[in-house]
Amino acid sequence: MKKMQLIKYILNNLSEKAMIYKSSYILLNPVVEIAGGFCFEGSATKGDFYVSYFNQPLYIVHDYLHLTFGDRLADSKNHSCFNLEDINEVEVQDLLTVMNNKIQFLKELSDPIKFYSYYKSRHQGNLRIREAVIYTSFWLSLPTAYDELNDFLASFSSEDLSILWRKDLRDKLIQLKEHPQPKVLLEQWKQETLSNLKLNSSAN
Amino acid sequence: MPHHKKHHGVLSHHTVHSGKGAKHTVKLDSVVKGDTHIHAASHKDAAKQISAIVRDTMMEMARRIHAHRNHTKKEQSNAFFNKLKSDLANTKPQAPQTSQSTLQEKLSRLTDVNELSKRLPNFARLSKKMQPEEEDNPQKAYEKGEKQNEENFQRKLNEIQNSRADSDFKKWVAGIGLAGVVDLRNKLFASMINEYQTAPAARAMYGSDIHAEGNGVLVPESIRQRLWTEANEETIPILKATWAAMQSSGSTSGITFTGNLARTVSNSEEGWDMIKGVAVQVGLDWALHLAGGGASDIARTAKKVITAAKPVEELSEVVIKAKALPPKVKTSVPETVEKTTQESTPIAKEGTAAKPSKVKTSVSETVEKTSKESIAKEGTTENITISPADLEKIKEKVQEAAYKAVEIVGEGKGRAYGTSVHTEFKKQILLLKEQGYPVDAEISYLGGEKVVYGRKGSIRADVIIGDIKSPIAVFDLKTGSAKLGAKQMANYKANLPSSVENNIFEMRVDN
Repeated sequence: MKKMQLIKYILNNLSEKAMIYKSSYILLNPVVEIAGGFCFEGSATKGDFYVSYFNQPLYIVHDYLHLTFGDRLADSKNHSCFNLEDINEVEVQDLLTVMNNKIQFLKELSDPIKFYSYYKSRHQGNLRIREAVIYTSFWLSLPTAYDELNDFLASFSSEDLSILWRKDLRDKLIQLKEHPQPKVLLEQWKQETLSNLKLNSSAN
Repeated sequence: MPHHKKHHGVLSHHTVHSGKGAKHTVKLDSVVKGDTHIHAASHKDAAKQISAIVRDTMMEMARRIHAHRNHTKKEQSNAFFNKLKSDLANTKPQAPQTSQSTLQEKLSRLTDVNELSKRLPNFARLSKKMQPEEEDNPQKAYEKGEKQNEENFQRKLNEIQNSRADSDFKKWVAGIGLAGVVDLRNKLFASMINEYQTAPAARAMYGSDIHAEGNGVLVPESIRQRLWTEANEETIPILKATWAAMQSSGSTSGITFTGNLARTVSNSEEGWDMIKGVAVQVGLDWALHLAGGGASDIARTAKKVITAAKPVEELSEVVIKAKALPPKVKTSVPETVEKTTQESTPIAKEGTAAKPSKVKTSVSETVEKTSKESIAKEGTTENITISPADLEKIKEKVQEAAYKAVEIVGEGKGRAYGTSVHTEFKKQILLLKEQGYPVDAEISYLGGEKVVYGRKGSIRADVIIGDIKSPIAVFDLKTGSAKLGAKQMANYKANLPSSVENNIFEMRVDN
C-alpha cells in the first residue's frame, strides 16, 4: 500500500467527515484559530511510518506545521511504528479507532480557551509551550496576559540567545508586549501563518 | 426496671421514681431529645439507670446508622454499576453535550476546594486540630495541611508512574492528574459526610447549624476529622479500584476484577497485600463507597475502556510485576519475569494542574471554569520527571538495545552496515517504548519544536528519553568511524528543546 492510499482510506473512514487532506497531514475543518489534525510521519526505514496528532495555534507565525502540541499515537498493542507493506486490515482498523478516539481531544484543544487551560499547567519547562500559552493569553485578552509575558521575559535572561530561535522567540514577545493592540498584531500573524501554510481557503 | 416506657423508635420517654415514691423527670435533650422515666431506689441508682439508657440508646443509634450505611452502600453499588454501564456505553467520541457540560460544571462547583471550604467551614478548624502550631491562623493551617495532602498525592502519583503498574492505568492516572485526585478526595469526603448527615435522627443527634453544608446537620468535628483523614488515605486505593472496575466491565468482584486491580499495584507492600488478597477487599469496599458519582465521573474521562476480560493466567504475571516484591515471591516465578520485577520502569509523570488565576472578564471566567473541566484525555504524555538514578538505568537499557542491534545485524562496515544497525536499533528502542520505558526513536526537531521527519533544516535524534516535547536526553548512534562532531553537536543544540541541550550523547557501538 502506498502512503497516500492509506491516508485517503483513513480520511474516508474517520468518524469526523470533511477533514482536509494536505500532503502528510489530515486537518480538522474548518481551520479557525488553532489547527488540529494528524500527521503521517515517515521514517529512515523504508515503508515505516508514525502517526502523530497535534494542535497548532495559528497566531504564532510559522511557515510549516509542527507537532509540538501533540504526540505519536500508539495502537491497542502499544505499537507506534507501522509499515506500509506489512500493515493489514485489522491494524488499519485499529489505527482508525485510535485516531477516532483522539478527534474529540483535538477539537477541544482547537478552542483557545481550552488550549490555554490545558497547556498552562503542562510542560512549562518547554519554551515553545510557554510561548504558546502567553500568545493564547493575549489572543483571549486575559487580564493576566502581561504579567505572564513579563514573568517569562524575566526568566528568559538565563537563556542562550545565540541560538537563533530563542532570540526570535524573545523578540516576538517584546513586539507583542509593546504593540498598542496586541490582538490586532496576533490577527496579522495568524493571517500570515494561514498564508504560509496555504490554508486561507479553509479558514473562517 | 422502668415503670413506664413509651417507645418512639430509638427515642424513649422515661420517668425516674427514686426514694419514697419521689418522682423526677430527667430530660436528656442533649442526647436523644426525649423525657426519661425510671423507677429507682435512690438518685444514685437513677443515675446508673440513666447511664444505661443513654448507652443503650446510643448503641441502638449506632446500629441503625450502621444499617443505614450498609443499605446506602448497596444502593450506591447498584447506582455505581448502572452509571458505569451507561458511561461505558457512551465512550464513543462525540461532540460535547450540554448535559455533560452541565454535569461537569456542577461537579466543578461541588469539588472545587475553595467552594468546598466555603460550604464546609469546619475544614479550617479541622486542619487546625491536626496542626496545633497553626491554631492562630485557621486559613493558613488549612492551606498548609492541604499542601501536605497534595504533596502526598503527588508522591503517590509519581510512585505509580515509576512502578511496573499497567501502562494503560498509568496513562489513565496521568490524565486524571493531581487536580483530579484532589477532586476525587473532596467528593469522597462530601459523600462520607453526607452519610452521617442523612442518617436517621442525625439532626437530633448532632444538632444543626445554618452554616453546615447539605441539609444543615452539623456532624461533630471529631467525626469530620476522622472522615477527612480517611478520605485522604483512601483516595488512591479508590482510584485504583475504580480503574480495575472499569476494566472489568463494571464488575467489582471476581478474578477479572482482581486481575485488573493487580495491574495497578505500584509498590511492594501493595504487591504483597494483593497476593494475600487483602487489598482486593479494601479496594472493593471503597470503590463501592464512591457510588455517589465519583467513579462514574472518572469513567467518563477515561481514555478508553477495555471491555475484554483479561485471561486468568495473566494474574500471576501481573502481580509479579510489582516492583521489588519480597524475596519469597521472586523465587516463585521464572527467572525472566523475576528480572523484570527487579528492574524499575522509571517513568514519572506529573499531572498537576495549577489553580487558574482569578480573573474578572467573561473570557477569563470561562478559562477558569474550563481549567476545572475535564478535557478529553490526551492519554499519552504529561510532564515527565525522571530521577538521575532512573535516567542511568534507562541509559543502560538504551545501550543494551544498541548492542543487541549490532548482534542481530552481525558484522559489517560502511554506510549500508550503519543503516542496518540504525534500523535494528530503532526496533529495539520501540520495543522498550512498548514495554513502558519513556523512550522514543527517530524524533525530528527544528527551532525547539517537534517537526515531521525530513523537515528542511531539522535534526533527527536517534533516541530520546522523556517526553518528545521536552526530552531530557538525546542519543546519536554512531558506528564505524562516524563521530558526533562539533558541527553536528551545534546543530543539535540549535534545534532541540532547551530541556535537553546539556544531555546530548554519542552512543558508539562497534562489532
